[in-house]
Amino acid sequence: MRRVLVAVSGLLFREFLDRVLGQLSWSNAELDLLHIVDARPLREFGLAAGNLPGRAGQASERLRRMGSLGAEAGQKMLSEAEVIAGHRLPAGTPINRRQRTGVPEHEIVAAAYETGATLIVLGAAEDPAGPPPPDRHGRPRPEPPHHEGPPRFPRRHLSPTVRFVVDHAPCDVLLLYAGKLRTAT
Amino acid sequence: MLLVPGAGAVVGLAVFLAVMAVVIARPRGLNEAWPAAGGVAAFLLLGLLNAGDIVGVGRETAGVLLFLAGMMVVSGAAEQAGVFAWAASFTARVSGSGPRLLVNVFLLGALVTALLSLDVTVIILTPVIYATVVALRIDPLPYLYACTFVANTGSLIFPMSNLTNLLVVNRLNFPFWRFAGAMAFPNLAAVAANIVVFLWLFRDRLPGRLSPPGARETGGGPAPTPFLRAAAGVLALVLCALFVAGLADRPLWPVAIGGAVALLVVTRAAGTPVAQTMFRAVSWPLFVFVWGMAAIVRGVEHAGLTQELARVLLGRPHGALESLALTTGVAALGANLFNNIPMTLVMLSVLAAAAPGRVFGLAAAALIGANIGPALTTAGSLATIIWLSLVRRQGLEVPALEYLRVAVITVPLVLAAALAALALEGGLR
Repeated sequence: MRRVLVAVSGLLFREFLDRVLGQLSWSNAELDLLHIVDARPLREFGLAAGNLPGRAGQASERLRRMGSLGAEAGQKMLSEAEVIAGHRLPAGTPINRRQRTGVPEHEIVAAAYETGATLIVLGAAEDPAGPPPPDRHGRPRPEPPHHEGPPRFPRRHLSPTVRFVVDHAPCDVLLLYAGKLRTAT
Repeated sequence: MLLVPGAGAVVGLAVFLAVMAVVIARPRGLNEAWPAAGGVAAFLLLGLLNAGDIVGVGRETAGVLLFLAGMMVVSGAAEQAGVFAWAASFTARVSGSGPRLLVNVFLLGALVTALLSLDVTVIILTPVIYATVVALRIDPLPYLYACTFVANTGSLIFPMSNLTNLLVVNRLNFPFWRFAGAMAFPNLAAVAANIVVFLWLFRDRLPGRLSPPGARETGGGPAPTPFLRAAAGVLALVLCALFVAGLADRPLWPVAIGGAVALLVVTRAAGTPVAQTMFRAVSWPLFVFVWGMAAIVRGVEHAGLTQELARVLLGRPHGALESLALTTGVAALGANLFNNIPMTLVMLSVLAAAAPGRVFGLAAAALIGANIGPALTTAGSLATIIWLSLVRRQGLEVPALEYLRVAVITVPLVLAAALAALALEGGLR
């Protein structure tokens, strides 16, 4: 059985999940939904607040609250993802929810080892070939002018998370863009 | 004096370092107030301090401590009313993209730091920004770094922006507006440099837009209850009164205490017990720590230790820029090795020996080092190493290189920008 590990995060996670579920074959597959509570912001707060004289007690209390908040937000996302997947996948397809705390790129690779994943699916926030984002008033921006000379292809900077996972994953890695692809076939 | 001449310096240094080691290590979660009080007792026993010094230091720091107490209640009550949550929510609503939100978080952090102090930005605003960003479902890391860094880089401008500023203004009798006027440009330069560096450092982590088209989920923040409106109104009045008091060259602590009382009345009317607000908002051990450290540094002065540092900083005929840079560098180094409060007190003791015409520029340079320098502590100071080992024991692993990258790239550039601004505007005089 194939085990597909899908890292769920970001404001476009529904669109991303929609594409994951629609583009892969799910016969004889198991889906692992993964959310990572990024521990680095929490530690950055802990360091900054914990170093203030006389504030360690307040810092610890707030750090705990922030950790709970991050975990709750992740569980909410995982629940939504599970419901969406449950409706779209063939009946009987196993769906597992996992939540880990740490550095996302490290935890994704660790989870892939732990579950014996055969495929990791990651999302990139925007379609590189898509139309430019609307301006601050929500109006669409004009298309970029056509340039003479060698073709200029749209470029998207991959996040450090994606780059790390591609470099260290123990299995295949699939990168899918969220949202509607203008050039999708 | 119980010690033979010459021995005082060695023993005084040993006690000072021992106190700082316990303050940083905090064995079994020991509060910083205890080692500070223990250090005072040791200096008294050694004869490096006497009862007159203790009373004198108490009198000198009383205004600062009363101001701190008042402002802690003011900011705590404002937090309870949801003023900061509303501000964070407003910041998210007016930001259409990740980079824009980062800039706006910087601006909000700089404003809160300038008006209410670095502590308020770190302790109160940072968790609120985290909650706001998590609700937006975007990567919180750049925004958390923005909060914790701007708390340092934006804390130069007003006396109330940082406890170190208050100590300097109080000890050297700098007028409020002269201080603010001189520090405004370095503060602006530091925050601007910090924003530019972060926009570049985190360019791959900032989303192009903050919500899918047509599905904006930024949330409206807390409802504008009468409590929120009243607290925001009183807070605005307190801040205005602080500036008026500063302009009139009057002490700030009566305004802070008056504001605290007014906000406690508002909080009580909203149904929260006064004692609860006071208990949550005020960090009582900080008062013992500040008083104790001021007394210890007085003892260090008596032991002749600060004279050595004064000789290095003030003795040789440095060029103006060189002198400022050296002062900033020493203050930043000390703030990272120990803590910026004792380091500021040490620098004050050193600057007391400077020629009157040089004191202001050198004090400003020392504050740039002592206020911005601690941002480096995320890179690997003793305090950070201990913190990292504590969180590691809780099962959280920290990649030290990431901290190193952010802090080592950012802090020197921000320090240089602030120092250049100070030099340009005539701090060289």
